[in-house]
Amino acid sequence: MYPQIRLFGVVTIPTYMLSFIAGLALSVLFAMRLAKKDGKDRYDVLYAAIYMVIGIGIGAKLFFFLSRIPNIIRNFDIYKALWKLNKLEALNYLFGGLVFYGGLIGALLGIIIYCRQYKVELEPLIRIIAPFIPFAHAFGRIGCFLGGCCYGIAYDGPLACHFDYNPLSPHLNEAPRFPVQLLEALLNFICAGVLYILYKKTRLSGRKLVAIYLIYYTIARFFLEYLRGDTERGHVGLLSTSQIISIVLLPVALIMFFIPEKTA
Amino acid sequence: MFCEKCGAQLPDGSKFCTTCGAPQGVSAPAVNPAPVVQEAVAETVNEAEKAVSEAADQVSEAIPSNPEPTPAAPVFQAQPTPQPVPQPAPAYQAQPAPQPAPGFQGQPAPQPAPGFQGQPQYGQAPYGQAPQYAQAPLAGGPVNETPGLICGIASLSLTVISLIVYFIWSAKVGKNALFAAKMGLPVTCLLTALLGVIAGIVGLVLSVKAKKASNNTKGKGGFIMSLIGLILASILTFSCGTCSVCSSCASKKAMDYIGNYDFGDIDWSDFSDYSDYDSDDYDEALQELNDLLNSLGD
Repeated sequence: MYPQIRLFGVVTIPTYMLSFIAGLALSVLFAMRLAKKDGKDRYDVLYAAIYMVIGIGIGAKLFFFLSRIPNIIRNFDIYKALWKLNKLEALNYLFGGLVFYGGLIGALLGIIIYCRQYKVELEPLIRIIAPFIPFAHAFGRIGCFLGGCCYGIAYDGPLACHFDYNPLSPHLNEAPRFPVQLLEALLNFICAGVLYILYKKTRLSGRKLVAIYLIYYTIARFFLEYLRGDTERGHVGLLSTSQIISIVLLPVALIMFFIPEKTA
Repeated sequence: MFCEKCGAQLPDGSKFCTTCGAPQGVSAPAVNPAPVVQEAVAETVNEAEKAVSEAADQVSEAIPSNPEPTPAAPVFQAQPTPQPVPQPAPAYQAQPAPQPAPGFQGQPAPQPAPGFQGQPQYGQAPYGQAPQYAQAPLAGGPVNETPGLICGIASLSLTVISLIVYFIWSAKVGKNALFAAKMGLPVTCLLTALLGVIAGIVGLVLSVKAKKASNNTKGKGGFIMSLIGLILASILTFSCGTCSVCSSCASKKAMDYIGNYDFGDIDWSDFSDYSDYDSDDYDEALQELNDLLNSLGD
């Protein structure tokens, strides 16, 4: 809807980025407050969050880069000609995007590395951060809605959204669309609330909370894919790549949940 | 006991070091606390002595802090970071010292004194593991905050440079993408922003390390600058990707062909080819790309 914001009339800033940063900042601030209230060290939360954010950036970009390499190798002469013509576009093709699952893996690696490096206990830290993962993700989805990516199927009932032409998603404005990004954001917020309640009321470990989020997200994502209208993300057979990743991740999440806790 | 400053061995209960003359029994952190805090610290030191000896048994099972390699203590507790509730400034210093038992769960049962944060000046055997004092005393800080600060400054400067280059570029050509053929300015803009991102990441990691050791101004400064630099530089690198000023029809078609783009029935007249730009290189490259695309078919 508002893919970009112009600052001072000169610099254009993608709204997706702004929304994501705002979501991250809020998540970190709330997590720090929660840590302080519960008597834990909030600076550990802050530093771990920093490491996670770095991990998200590197992971998401890396996965995107890896997903583009096969195409480039297959059409190398065209890519070379494109590079000669317009280096920025060529670079943009190679690096200009993010993959959510790459970001997730990067975030988890980030926090693990942080705990290993500074010898902080992983469990309590993840337990505090767990409710905020879907919280930040929801803001990412709102950013998607504003940015015009990850859009829904053509739909003409109540709540249908009419988008303007968006050069990044050329098909976006062809038909009124179902605001599937907002639905995903709502589901993520609900998940965040549930995890927060579980955090407060139960003694489920951080690992189990993250596993609950993964179980919830993979199942939800599998069905929401049918409401997605951006087909260019790639299909393998009948299922889209995201659905396949969901199917693969679900047993991993279940294992994560049911593995017995290590006794201290 | 051992001198807080130079590590020399002293008789227990010494008030001053016989080697370097540093006063003992006052919290001697890497940070220089305000005089008010020093007073408060000195007052509570005596109270806490008893608590310390009680906790010493627990501590002997805990892992000592970062800078030292772990002794043979069992790895039950990870590096704890307790918050001594009443003390504001010492709270910052809480990180590096050998801490009493509880892990991330916060307050240990005896309220830890400032003595917990820095050098264990009580000479309790569990603390006084010789290797700790044989090393450089923590007063100077085994972690240097300057690299973090430098990286933070670098990150911010690179971002500013990138912005300046961007303004120069857009002032020169406005929305006219003819400059796309001459990639010098836009590529410089992107590359400096990218370097700013990398400097920001490195600066953050280094600053976190420095802040964990001692939360002084340099560490904080490096941290904040790296953070702001990283955020701004990331925004700049991303906005390069979403802006299509230098896009051309041919390049979009090429990306469409290479894959994972589905332009379908796009109105190609939205993108021009800028083939009236007066540059042989650009025309030649454009021709080459169009020939390729035409020969392969869309």
